[in-house]
Amino acid sequence: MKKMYHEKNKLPLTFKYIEIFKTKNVCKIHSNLLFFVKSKKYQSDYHVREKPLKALIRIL
Amino acid sequence: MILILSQNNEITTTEVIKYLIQMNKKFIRVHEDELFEIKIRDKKIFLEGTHNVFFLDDIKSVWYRRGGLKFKRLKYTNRSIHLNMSETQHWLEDYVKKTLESKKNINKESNSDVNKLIILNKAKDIGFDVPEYFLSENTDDVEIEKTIIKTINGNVMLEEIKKSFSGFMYTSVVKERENRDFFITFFQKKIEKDFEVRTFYLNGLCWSMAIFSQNDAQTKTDFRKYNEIKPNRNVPYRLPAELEKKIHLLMQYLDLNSGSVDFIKKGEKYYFLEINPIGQFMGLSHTCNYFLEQKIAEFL
Repeated sequence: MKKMYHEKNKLPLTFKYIEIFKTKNVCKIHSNLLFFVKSKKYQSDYHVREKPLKALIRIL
Repeated sequence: MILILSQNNEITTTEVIKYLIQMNKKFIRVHEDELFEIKIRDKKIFLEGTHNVFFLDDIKSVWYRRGGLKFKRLKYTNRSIHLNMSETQHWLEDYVKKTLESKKNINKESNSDVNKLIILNKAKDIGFDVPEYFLSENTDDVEIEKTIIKTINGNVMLEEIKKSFSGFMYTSVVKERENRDFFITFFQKKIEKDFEVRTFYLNGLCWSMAIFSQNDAQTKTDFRKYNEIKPNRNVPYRLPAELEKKIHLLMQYLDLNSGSVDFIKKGEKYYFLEINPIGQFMGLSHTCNYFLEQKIAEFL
C-alpha cells in the first residue's frame, strides 16, 4: 500500500480497498438542479436552494 | 438563547433551525471556522466572534452538532511569559467550554470523538452480540471472503488523495492474502445479514429504520455505496425493548444523549456494529416520518 501512495511508512489494509472517485464540482454538474446561496435566516453560506419539485408545480 | 455548534454547510442543522424559527426560539449558529475572543462586560463573560457576540450567561442550552468552539489566543515574544499566558488563556477557555457543557445540551464537544475499539469492548460487556473482531498487521489468521475490514478512525473520506481524485474507505471484504505486513488494521467476522438497522437515539428514546441492503451486490457490504438507480428499501422498524435498554446503558456509559447506532440482523440476533454521535439522521427521519429535527428543536 505504501508504494501505491509513495509513502515511507506502512498503511492499513483499508488503503488497498479504498474507492477512488473524481472530485466533482457539484455546482457545475447540477447547475440546473441545485446550488448554494448565502442565508442570513439560517446563518449559513451553503443553504441549498432547490428548484421546486414536480409535485409542487402540479399543485400550482 | 440556544447555542448551536456546527459547520457552515451542515444541512441537518438548517433543518433543525427551521423548527426553532417556527417555535420562536432564539439561537446562535457557530461555524467551524469562527474564532472567539473572551472578554468581560459588566463583570460577565462575553464572547466576541467574527460573526456572533453573546454573554455566556445568556446561553440556556447547547447543541453540539459538529466543529467546535475555537478561541483566538494572544502570543507573547518572551518564551516564559508566553508559556504562562498560554496556560492562563487555556484555563479561561476551559471555563467557558465547561460552563457551556454544564447547561442543558445535546452532546458535548469534549466527548464527541468516540473510540470504536473501546465502544466494541463496552458493547460486549453490556451484552450486545458483536461480530468477532481483532487487530492485525498481516492476513495470516484472516479467513478470506469471510472477514471484513474497516477504519479504526471515524473519518473514512480522503479528500484530494490524488490530484482531482478523492477516496472513500467503505467497509470491504478481504479478497486475498497479503505477502507483506501492513499498518495495524481492524478485522471483523463478516455476517451474512438479513437486513441492517440504523437507530437514532435521543435522551433515552430510540427511532429505528430497517435497511434492506443485502439483495444488492453494490450495498451488500456497506449500504453507503448507495444505488441511486435502484435504492435500498428502507422501512420504519422497532427494536426489541431489551435492546433499546442496552443502547441506553451504552450511551450513558459514553455520556452521550444523542447518536446513531448501527446493527445487522441475522436470524434472531442483532449484531452491534458501531455508534456515531454526529452521524446523519435526516434520511432516517424523512423516510420513516419520525420528525427527529423537530424533536431536537423541542428539546433545546
